[in-house]
Amino acid sequence: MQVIKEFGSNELVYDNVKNGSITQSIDISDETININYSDIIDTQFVGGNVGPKFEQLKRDLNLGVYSKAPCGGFVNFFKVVSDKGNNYIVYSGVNEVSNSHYIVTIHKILKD
Amino acid sequence: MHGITVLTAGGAPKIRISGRTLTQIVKRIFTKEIRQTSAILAGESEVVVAGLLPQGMVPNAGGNIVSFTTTETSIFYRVYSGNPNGGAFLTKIAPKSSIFAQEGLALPSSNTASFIQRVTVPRGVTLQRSRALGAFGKRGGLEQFQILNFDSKIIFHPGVPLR
Repeated sequence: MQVIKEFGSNELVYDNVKNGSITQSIDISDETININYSDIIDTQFVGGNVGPKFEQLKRDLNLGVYSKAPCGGFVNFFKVVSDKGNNYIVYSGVNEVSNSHYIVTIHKILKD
Repeated sequence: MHGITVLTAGGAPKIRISGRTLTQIVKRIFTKEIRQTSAILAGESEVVVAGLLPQGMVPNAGGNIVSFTTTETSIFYRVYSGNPNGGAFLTKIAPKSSIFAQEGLALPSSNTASFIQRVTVPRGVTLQRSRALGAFGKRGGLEQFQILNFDSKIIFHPGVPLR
């Protein structure tokens, strides 16, 4: 696992009550990945879409069993495919700040 | 260098934390509070709120706020309209209708509470009990339980329509 890109705490933040668009494009050198925040929110209680790899990714990032993401939200690892067909994992924190009001903060882009 | 020092020579014990007396620490806290309150009065509320709460955070809990850890498996309920896969806010009593849930739980327009699901919370999960504060033009007031620690053993059962 390799960290490809890191973001500041307020750099890529999605608020489902305030933001109109639920998608976000991120450029990684000469390729682009598209993130759908709604998909990330829908997987907040399974930690994303990486299945059993979740625990390994947490260990790779030195996160403890009960650690939260730097933003204070639940850790989420979401696998996406770039426009050039490469697999990346979006590491984010999903914070339900009130019932059904979500703040998603993207922290890192990882590559297997 | 951080540490707590207790000096007992010559009368009452004097406690120092990281080299500061308790009086100095209290003064620093109050000075910060006064600065933030002044900024609110001067119309800089956005800056101040950002300093008090992480970005986007809003107070959602009122009433008697109690955090506790479950000692046995318990059943809760969750209302939703789009995402059946789980959320952090639950109720102990099933809301009687969709409108009642929207108003009482102060839901944003994205959640019309058209479904309700049972949630099995195992022992060892930390929850915060409170009353939902009003938000999004809804009055709030219903009892809510927020899951504070992620636990993959929490089961969100299939939902059924809520009228």
